[in-house]
Amino acid sequence: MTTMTSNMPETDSRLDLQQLMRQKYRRRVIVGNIILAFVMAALVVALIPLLSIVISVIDRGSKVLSTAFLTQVQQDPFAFDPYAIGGVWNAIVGSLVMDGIAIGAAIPLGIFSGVILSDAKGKIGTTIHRIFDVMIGLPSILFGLFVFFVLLGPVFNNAYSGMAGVIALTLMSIPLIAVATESAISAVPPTLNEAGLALGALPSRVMWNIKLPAARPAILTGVLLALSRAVGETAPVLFVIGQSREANWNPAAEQSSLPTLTFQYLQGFFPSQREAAWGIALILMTVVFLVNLTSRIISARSQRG
Amino acid sequence: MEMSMEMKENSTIHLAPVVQDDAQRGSSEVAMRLNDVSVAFSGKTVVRGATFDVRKGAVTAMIGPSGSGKTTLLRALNRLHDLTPGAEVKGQILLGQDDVYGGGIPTPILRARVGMVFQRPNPFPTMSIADNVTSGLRFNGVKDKKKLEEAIEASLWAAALWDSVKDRLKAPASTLSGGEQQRLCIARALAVEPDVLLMDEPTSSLDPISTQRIEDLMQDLKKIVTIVIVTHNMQQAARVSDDCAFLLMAEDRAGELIEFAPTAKIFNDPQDSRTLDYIQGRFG
Amino acid sequence: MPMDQSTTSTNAAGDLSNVSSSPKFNLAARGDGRYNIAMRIGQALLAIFIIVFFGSIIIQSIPGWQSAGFGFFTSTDWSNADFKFGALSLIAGTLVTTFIALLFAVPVGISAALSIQFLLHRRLRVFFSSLVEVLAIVPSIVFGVWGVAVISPWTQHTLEPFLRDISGGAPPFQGEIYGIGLLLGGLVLGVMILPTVVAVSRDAFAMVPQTLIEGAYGLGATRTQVLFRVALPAARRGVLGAVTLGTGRALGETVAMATILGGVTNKFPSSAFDLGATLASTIARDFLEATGSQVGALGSLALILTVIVFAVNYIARKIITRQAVML
Repeated sequence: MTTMTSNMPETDSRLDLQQLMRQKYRRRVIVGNIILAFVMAALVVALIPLLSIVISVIDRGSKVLSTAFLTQVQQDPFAFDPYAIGGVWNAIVGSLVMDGIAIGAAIPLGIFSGVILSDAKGKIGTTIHRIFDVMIGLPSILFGLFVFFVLLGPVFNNAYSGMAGVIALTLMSIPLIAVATESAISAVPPTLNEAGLALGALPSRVMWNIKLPAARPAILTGVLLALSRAVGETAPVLFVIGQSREANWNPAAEQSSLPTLTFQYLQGFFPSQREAAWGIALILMTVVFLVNLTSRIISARSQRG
Repeated sequence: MEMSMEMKENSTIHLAPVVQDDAQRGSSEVAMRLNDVSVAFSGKTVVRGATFDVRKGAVTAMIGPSGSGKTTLLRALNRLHDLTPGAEVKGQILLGQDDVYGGGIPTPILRARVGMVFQRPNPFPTMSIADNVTSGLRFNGVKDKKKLEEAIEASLWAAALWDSVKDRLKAPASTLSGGEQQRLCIARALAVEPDVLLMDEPTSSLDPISTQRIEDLMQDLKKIVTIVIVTHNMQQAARVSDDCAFLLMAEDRAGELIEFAPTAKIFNDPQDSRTLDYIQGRFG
Repeated sequence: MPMDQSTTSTNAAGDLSNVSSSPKFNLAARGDGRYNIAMRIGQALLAIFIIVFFGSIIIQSIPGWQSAGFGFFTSTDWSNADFKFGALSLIAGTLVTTFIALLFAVPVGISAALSIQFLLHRRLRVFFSSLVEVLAIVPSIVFGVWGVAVISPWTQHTLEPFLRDISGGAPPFQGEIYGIGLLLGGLVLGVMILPTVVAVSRDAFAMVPQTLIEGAYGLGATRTQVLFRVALPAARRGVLGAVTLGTGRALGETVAMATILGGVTNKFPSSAFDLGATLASTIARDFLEATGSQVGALGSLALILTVIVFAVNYIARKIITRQAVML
């Protein structure tokens, strides 16, 4: 231990070191504060465009929004009256019908897929699992292409159909709901599972009566996330639903949707069409915010309960 | 692991440890002075009116049951409560001649002078062993290569870790065992040559052998640094400390200093009946 | 857990060697054969779905390879109407816009995440992190609307002239200014992926153990040092994952890019002000009018896009948890 003391600097060196650190202090505080100022500035820089989107959508969208805009169907503007573009009722109906059916179909299919994923073992099981994780991030246009290539000919006789859009949206939503379900199931404490099995319950009963109910809030969050995506997606339905100007409650007919109409209007010739795009953007953003708010309330409640 | 420590404590706790009366260990010079120190979180007092002196070169232990505010009081000494919104420290704490909360010493400089070792080893996971040791110096603006290299060897020596890591200084700190990691954290704290080293239950997450090594180490360390240790384990306080502060939760759930005395006196002849009850294992 | 495994897999695999080991549970398992069969069938269906999905993308791309040949990767001239299929400009457009997006979103996003997590009061922290999570799901077509109407006048009259003047017209800030184009596309993409980068990296910062942060403060570190020398390195995996996730999204963004890049498909980008196109935007713009070998060529673009985005997302998934992938 004598070696130790001899290796430890003497008291003088301690004072020298403390002196040195004090000398360096001012500089590093100044440099540090400059860096911190940049970090805080980055938050402002990040918020400016994001708030600009929210504000301009509310501001310019609310100028377009009116009862007529919401209840009339779309019209082609004429050269002599560029403002005669009607409303977006056809797109609202199309979105309601297609998103509703798509999510309705994706919920059971997605949850079932999630249960399968949670049960998946072995090489094939884990591969399926990983691919599903990755599919969440695939460009949504691929689902539209898939439906176009594989189904539009044989199933829909090469005619545009809302149902083709529904299928594309459903396929896009399934991986999201499945992965949410799987991770919620795997988060259920194993003791619950073992308790059920120890009582002699069948694995299917344990899944149905214990695991899925416990995972319900998380699954619901996944469903709502899928819903808000489906509502806002343009690309999956772009090639398959056509451009209906009629409000069709029949999903199998040619259809229209809010995002696709926005896309169409953005490429339109008339300024009135670009203004209408703001109105649709406001509708879309309101819906997405409400869905998100619902999911927040649900997850807050489940955490409290 | 913690369970076995707990059991060990319980099985022997009924016998008050016998401590040799060599109260003259450490000098009579004061390293830190606490004068009526209280700590409150959002207006709720957690520790009230602690007054005692930490002697230079001695090991001062803070003991008491859970909730008595030992750790809270310890963290007041290096202003770590500044990180907690709503925390408030009242009273006076002196480090040598300097008022800790008086504004005379910048907080980072204070923390370099009053080092800290935590309950669980917390080496920086992305740094090598050597970089962990020099991190404090580098935080404080010391860049001189020679100085840093000297500090690596000296501090690892002082923490009794040099021999086992000298061939793998560039290895990530996470490759060390729990006990080694804690000694690395001690070396890291020593590298800035602090006046005082605060240890917050430093062995609570370690196995008995690693605990033993850290306790042995403290006896050597007090030759170069004043130590204040919080411990849940009375045996440990009896073994390692020179002075002892006993804290207890009052009726309003705020911790109070019940008794402060040389360790031998606390364990052999406590003045307060509550201290006696505690060291005889009647509660806690 | 092991119990569960032995019951389900034993039965599913028809492996009889375990039957005697745990009679009670296997009794249960035998009675649950239907469930296990359903699981097996379900797994097979998922596998079929995956194979058909990716298989169709591959098969549909074959005519494209046949008609374009090797020129697909060497020619910069893409013109669907004239049956010219050189994808190089589109690949470059995809990479350039994504690069510009990252140039903006990575430093700004990581810094914003640091300040939300470590510099703001608790209430503001909760507010901003919820705000950012909400903004992460704003439909991309809304970004397109905003980009065309609000940002493109700004890039045209302020940003791009400024960049050209300050650089003296040196590459990559030379040539004609349109307002729309690669720079605008990259910036809008950057804003679009910003919420994702902020939300996922803030999550990673929130996971940095408090004891590490206290340890650094305890050694005399200043707040800046704690942020950059301890928190950032400790969270580097999550931050990297956030960036990768954002990259995947930027590469695959479709409709916003189709509206603000200008749709110029036959010019290899030489200036940030150039008009351009990406793989996805070209598919979105040209697909409805395409016939015959044009469809096949677009199918080839889809395959390239799939391969790139799949790889990036696979890496993202490797480095971060599943929770974050869904943000």
